[in-house]
Amino acid sequence: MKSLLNITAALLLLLPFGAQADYPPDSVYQLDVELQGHDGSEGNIDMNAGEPTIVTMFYGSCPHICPMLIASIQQVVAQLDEDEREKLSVLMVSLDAERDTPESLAKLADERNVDSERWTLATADANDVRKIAAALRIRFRKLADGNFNHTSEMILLDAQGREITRSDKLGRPAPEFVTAVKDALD
Amino acid sequence: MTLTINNTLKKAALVTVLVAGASPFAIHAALEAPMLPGGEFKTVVPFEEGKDYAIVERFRLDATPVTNGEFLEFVKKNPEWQRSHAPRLFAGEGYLGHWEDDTTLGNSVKANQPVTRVSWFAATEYCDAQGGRLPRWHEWEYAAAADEARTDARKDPQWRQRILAWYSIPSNRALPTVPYGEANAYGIHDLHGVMWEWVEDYNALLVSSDNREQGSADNLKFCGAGAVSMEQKENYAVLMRVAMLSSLEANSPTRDLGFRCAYDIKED
Repeated sequence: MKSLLNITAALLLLLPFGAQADYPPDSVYQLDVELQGHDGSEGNIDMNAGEPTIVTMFYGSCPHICPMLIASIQQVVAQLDEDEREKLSVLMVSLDAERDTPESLAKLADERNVDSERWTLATADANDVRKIAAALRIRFRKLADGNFNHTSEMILLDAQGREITRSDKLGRPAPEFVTAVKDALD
Repeated sequence: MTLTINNTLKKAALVTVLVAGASPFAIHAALEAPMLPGGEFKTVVPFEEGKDYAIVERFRLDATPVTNGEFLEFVKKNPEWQRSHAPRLFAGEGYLGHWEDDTTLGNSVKANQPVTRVSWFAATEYCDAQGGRLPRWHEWEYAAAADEARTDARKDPQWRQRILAWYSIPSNRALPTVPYGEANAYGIHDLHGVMWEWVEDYNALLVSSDNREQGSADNLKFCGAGAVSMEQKENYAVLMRVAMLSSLEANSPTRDLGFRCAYDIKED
């Protein structure tokens, strides 16, 4: 038992950012960051490991595109059957470390009829936000007035945190993306 | 009044010595990373429409790029960043590929050449271990506006021509050892003429799709005011850097792409 612990300790030493051991080399879940969910939960980027997840980045005070982003993911979900719906998680990470809080995101989730059973709207500190965006290949820029420019993409991760596909088509979802989500859930 | 300032300076100097005594990394920061005063700065990449300036806070910047020798010390202490251990997410194909192996530079790599073929993640982690961070684009641009005598030489066509000349040198030559060029007015070497450099907010530099492929702007990709529109087209050399950085992903190691670290200045 002791030697097993030693081996585990040795393995952990070999992981950047203290990430967890058992993910594939291209898995986003190797990141080690701290997220706070709108439901009061705390967790790492791998909080939904074990099930396919749609991940995206947004910010709470975003006037147009971000509500559209939420609605677009809801439209993807609407095209799933009930079994599929129960297996899909959604993680939306805020770019706005200064203004968004678990409370403000809880309010937003409520306003947008977000299914809090399956969805997490999360905040992280600015350094972690930068790392998450880098790992997800999302580009963003904070403007002087507190708003953000950012690429709005829905990224489908498999149960291990590897990217399956992504879509920047908002509004009516791209059929290929919906198909990929269904395939991942079956 | 003068006395107060002197006392403050003495106090600052004392703090520096104390911090330097505590950590070898702080010595590096204190002695080899000059302070830049910052201020309002005219940028080629305004982050907001209708503005052509950025505010840069006071900061320190490494006088020279991080070298192979320095990065070797880092990976020896942090084996997870050795090239056979770092996962693909953090360090893509070719990461430190010019070195002989995980912890050997080999005969063709000099310890005092700038380290290149490093990913953004690795560079970020290196600077973090030194108590610093990567410089932000506007900080880098601000530092790089200086020539040997002036803090902002960008209006001088001769100077612009000089930095542009570097881009015509074939990139298959070996990198020089650093410091290579003379220090600029801030005491910083080799921002131009040697290599490309990572910045912390490389992923803020989204060049709009209508800059890249005319006529197919996809504004929905950007929440808010759209992408960077590049100003001051005559500053071609700096714009090339922006275009290059905007094409990178955080795990891409690239030939001739290295980095240096910046340090926040803590107010008392």
